[in-house]
Amino acid sequence: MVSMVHSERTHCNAECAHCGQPLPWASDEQSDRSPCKPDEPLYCCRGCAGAARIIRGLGLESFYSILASEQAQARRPVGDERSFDALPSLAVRDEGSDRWRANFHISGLRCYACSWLVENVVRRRFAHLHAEVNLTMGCLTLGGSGESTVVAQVASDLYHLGYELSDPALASGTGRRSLEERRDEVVRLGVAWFCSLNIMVLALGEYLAPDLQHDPVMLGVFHGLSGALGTVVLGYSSWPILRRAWAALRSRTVSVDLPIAVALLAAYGYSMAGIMLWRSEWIYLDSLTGAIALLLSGRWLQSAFLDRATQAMDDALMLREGPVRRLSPEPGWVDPSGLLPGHIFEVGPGEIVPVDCAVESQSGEMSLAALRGEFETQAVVRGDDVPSGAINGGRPMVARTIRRSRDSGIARTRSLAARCSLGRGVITTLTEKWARAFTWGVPAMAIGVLSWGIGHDPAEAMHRALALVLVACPCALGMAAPLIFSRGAALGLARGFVVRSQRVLESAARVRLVVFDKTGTMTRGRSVVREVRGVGRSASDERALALARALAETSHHHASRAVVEYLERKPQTSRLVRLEDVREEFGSGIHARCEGSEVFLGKVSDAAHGTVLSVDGQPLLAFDLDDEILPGTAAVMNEIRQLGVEVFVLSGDHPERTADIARRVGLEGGAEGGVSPLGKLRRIMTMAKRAGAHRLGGVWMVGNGLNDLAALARADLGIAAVSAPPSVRLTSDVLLLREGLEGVAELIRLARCAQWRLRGAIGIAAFYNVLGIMAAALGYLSPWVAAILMPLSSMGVVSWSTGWSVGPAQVQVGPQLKTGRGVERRWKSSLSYSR
Amino acid sequence: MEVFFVLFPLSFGLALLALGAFVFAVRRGQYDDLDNQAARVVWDGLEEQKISEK
Repeated sequence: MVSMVHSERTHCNAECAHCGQPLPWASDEQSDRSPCKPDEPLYCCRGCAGAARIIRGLGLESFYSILASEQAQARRPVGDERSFDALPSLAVRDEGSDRWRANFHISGLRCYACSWLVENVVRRRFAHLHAEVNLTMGCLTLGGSGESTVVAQVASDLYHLGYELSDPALASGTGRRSLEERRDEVVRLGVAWFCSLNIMVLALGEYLAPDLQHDPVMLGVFHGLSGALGTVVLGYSSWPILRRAWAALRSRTVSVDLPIAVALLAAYGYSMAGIMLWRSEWIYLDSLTGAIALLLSGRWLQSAFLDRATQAMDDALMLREGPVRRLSPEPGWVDPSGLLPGHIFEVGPGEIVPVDCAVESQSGEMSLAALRGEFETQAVVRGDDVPSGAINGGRPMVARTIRRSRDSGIARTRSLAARCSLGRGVITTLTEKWARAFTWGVPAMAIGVLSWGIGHDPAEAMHRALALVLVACPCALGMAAPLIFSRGAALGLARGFVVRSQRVLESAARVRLVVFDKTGTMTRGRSVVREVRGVGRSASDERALALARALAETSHHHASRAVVEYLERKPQTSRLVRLEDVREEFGSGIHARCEGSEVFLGKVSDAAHGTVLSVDGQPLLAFDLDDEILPGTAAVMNEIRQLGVEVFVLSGDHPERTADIARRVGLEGGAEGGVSPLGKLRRIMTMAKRAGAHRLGGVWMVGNGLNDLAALARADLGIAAVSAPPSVRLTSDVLLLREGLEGVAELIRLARCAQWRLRGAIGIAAFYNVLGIMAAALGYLSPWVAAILMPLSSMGVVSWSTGWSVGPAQVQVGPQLKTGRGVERRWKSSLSYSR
Repeated sequence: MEVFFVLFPLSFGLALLALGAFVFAVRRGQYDDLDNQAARVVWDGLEEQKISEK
């Protein structure tokens, strides 16, 4: 019986009767219940089964025969198909065996549940594969034997679940550390703790047994062991610090590792001398190694935070621009850089045109919102030129390459942006100033103390110099800034934005002016119906609305989609309307005949921005289209201004529309429209220069399109909105992760809190250091006390730098910092320098 | 006091063994993913399915 069923199943067409996908989930239960018969279809899931039931129930089985016909196959949208054929080549084979392993970067992981899902999906679907998810690093390791082509199938399955696999080499563009480096750091840390704790045990033994001093053999063993362990800590665990300090010395740059290295080496040398010369009171190995262990712990914490933030940045950046479907000469998926002039390719709906090209399809709809700021799509016909960066607003379109991607518009804008970011002013961060002071000041003082003492009392001079160097050790400075940044970056992530570097957060607190782009940043970037007006009759006439909806549903045009979206909310408009002879005229509208009358939905004149429904030439309804402002924008603008920062709007869209949008968010007169990408760049440069000259602080730019690229690079801080393409995200300093501009206000508050924390850390460190240096120089501080203070101050720094958050109460920090202008002053007049 | 000549090498040897085990664990990647390992204990359904059972 079992074998019969088995052979029947192998003759079956094992595909879902509704969607046509192969049936991977056919469990034994299903085959028992419905053995394969031609008239009993099998479905892959409840969704398909339910849909099929509805279709058959309504008597629409002809759907399936239409689906099977050649025409339907040819016009399938490009949509969701992604090719992962490049991934199997990443598999590394073990020598001499059939087994291979492959490591991928996986995006979309949120928590343990995602890891569990991914691992289970792979193991159940591909029983012979081994899968392991590393949540910390965001990577997936697959292992198996035989052919590695199954990797492409795994990637495709996971893609449909929402997890994207990619080459790890591509994802590490932002400087993530490799697995080797991480492991090295953990080993060094572990060794440091191991040695320092053992040294402390030895030292404790020495303190507790006073007669040990009279037993030279035992004492020698204790000291010798301590010395050996101490050497391991200094030579191995703190080797990176010493190496960086040496590199800084050779290249004459500032590095906070230099004074730290000097302190460590001085204390080590002194202690080793004490061991050799049998001067027990010179030995500080326990405090020294304890301090090193704590210092390394702090840095490890910092790297862990940073790696997590970098992973989120990688996901947010979505560095891949995605492969393109080439149709000729060789059909297949290629990287955009592989499109040469003359190649024919296809762009799906909603996708970005990768290269400068000419239209090959009969017609198409292109949106130049990313390039110019106008959100309406433009009709194009065969032969028209389309620039790279345009977005396909309609059906799949075929195009012929004119210029390669590196010569296309996108690439030129990118290189312009790269040049602009070099012209940005260099703001010396606070940490850098202090690091410089420490690097030169402290050794100078130590040498001063030594030279004073050489004449009088060399031993005492050595003591005081050592104590000075130890107490002035800027471990605090070295740790505070990175830890504060890590904490700030984590807080920022939770609030919906990614800060790309420590430098960015430090300079962010000085913002004075934020310039916003309009289309796609403050608005949704697509048409929305604002209101419907009745011409000669009421605007709620159901028949007219139903007619308009029926006409609009036949077209992909952005105006039609807006009308459909608007009318979908009115259920009474979904009645059946019989239309005949439907013709769509690009650039004009939709003509049809309904119950004997000529009906039309579209643009009546060039001047009007709206869409009109007319019957037999008589206008009945007028739909006012507009670009919808993101909810909460007005509130955000207000909040930013209450924080003492000014706001301005720059847009490439028509001046009247820009002014209208500005008025609606409460920025009367503070906007300028019709600005070209180059114009935006010039404006930003002027504003930044004047702000810098008056020491007023930074100018930010918030944008989402390729027309903002240069301005974003040139501004003191560039913020990319969530809808920005990868090239814009790559050149920005901050990325917004959510729709809406609340992140900008949050960033201001976060930056000010972080700044306050940093100043606090530096202030406390300065106070402690000045006091300590004076005490040491005057002989009130013995080296062993100084050595104990080192780890204690480190612990204090770690808790200060990580134990903070951004609360509403912090807003009052604003007036305490020098803002230069009162908050109540009307922003309009203070922008005189921008004209 | 002579017992120290046994105690010292013994304890030192044990300590080095512990250190060696730590380095071994890190190099083999056991400390790479500290987030997931905590949860793995309570996951079910991850038994390796042998091909013959299918």
